[in-house]
Amino acid sequence: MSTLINKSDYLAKMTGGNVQHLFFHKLGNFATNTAATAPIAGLEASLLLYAGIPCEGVAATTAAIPDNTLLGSMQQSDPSGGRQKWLTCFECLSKINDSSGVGTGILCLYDRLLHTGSLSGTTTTAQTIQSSGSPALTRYTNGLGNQIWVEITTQIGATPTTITAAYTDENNNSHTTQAVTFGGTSFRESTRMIRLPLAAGDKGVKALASVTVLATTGTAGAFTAMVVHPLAELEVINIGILARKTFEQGQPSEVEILTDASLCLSWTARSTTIPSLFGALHMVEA
Amino acid sequence: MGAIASVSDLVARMSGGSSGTPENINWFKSGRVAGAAAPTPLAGSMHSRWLEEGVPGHAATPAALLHPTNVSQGGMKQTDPSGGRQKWLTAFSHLFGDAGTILLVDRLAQVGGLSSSSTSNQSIASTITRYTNGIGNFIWLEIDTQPGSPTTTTFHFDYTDENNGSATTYEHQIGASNYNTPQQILIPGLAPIAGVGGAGVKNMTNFKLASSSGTAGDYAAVVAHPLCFASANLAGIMSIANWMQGCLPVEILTDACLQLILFTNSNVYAPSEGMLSMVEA
Repeated sequence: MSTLINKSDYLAKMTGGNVQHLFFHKLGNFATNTAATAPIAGLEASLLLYAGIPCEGVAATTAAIPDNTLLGSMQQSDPSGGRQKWLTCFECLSKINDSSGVGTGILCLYDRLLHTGSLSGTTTTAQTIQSSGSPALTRYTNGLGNQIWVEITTQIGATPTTITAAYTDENNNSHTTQAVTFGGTSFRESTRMIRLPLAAGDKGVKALASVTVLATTGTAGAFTAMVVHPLAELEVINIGILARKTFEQGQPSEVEILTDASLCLSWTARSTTIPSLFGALHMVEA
Repeated sequence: MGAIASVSDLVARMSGGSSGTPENINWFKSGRVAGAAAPTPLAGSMHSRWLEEGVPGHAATPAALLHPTNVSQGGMKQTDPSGGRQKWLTAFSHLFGDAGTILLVDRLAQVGGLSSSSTSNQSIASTITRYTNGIGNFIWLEIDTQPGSPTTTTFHFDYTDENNGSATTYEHQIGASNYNTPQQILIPGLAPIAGVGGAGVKNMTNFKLASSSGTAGDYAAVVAHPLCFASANLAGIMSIANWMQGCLPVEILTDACLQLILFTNSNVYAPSEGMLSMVEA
């Protein structure tokens, strides 16, 4: 295991055979050839269920540790020979969708560490995510920088309430997240992604015991609770114009792609236009 | 076969030392197809420049199965690496008469002459010769001749995925106003089989329309492998993708057929030009 030492080392490794230029295409459609749920301006949406290349995923069910074989993820190859894998460039453009619209916004690449789906928008008792800490995280196990997100996969109810999560922080303390709006317009639609704020002073998440919906939203729907580790964000600002984040230039420094990382995408839209995206991840082993 | 050992090694190879065999290809696309201005595109759409006149010259309209190579009309016609070396793209630039992005791909297989009205399976059987593990290969449809009386419908491809499974893409719209411009590229989503796959294409098998998309249109099915983007943020402003940005070098395989794809920013189809810079190592 080693780092990229300098520009020369980077060149040698980019031409040395352990490199992956992974292009992706998110269509703005679900697999049924129906338009994806319209995003909400300024709010985050999951692209897991979007058809494309690599193909779409399916909503999570029982608690699991997703890896690089997860449908809907980037399905990158693992580093080999004891090496580490580094993201050297992340780029994407926005193209026309089925409704003549072109969405712009912020694309976030994250590692999906744990997820449990089939959760209900009407159950007001604690809904278990990890049972006695199982399955345990296998990546970013010190918890630092990990976040708790919920992903609505089937529309929940129209009655606004709040949601919290019981978790273990990076110092092994049991804490509860701050309550955030859950249900009601803009917080109920399929693909909506909602980030839960940690307790004061916390810097990460080691385990996620449960989530609790304070009051019924009126419709069970389905949602997924996750522990994720955000890796990179990219501002896709104009139609057909490539946005590129070049980690080799230190903006930010290169990002390691851990073995088995489940690389997924979220989208914070500038408008209600459904995004259709074409981009690439460039990675090298060292 | 070898790597570029260092920045110094790259500089040496780019100036002809160390058997670097540098090659710089200045390409130009005129914005014209078959002697006329290319049809007005939709903003944000994806277009093939395979038939667009320029330098190197344009291709003929695809017909029977072809596995294009570096000597095929329509490609960049770079030389193959020699002496057992590999060829590396170290920079790719783009200057456009409007804003937009160019994507460089290796065109692996094409079958043209597909009917816009037949609802039968139209065979597009192919066996690719590069990127043969299928991972990262795309399958798409190019509209070579716009059908008359276009009607909204859908199409799909049957193909072999990266795990040798027989797969079918999801349905994709065609014939509607957004999906009926000559040179436009339409890419349906790949499909997993029993919970795995969906990450590439080894070979294409059939093209099928759900119903007629119009009369006398001509489509081509293509398998291609994307290599590098170069954006043009404003009309008349050049941008360069280079090895220092983390997206290059990328290998240009022996016999690669380098094709240009355009993503438009507006409904302007303008001339563009740029440069491919390559060395061997």
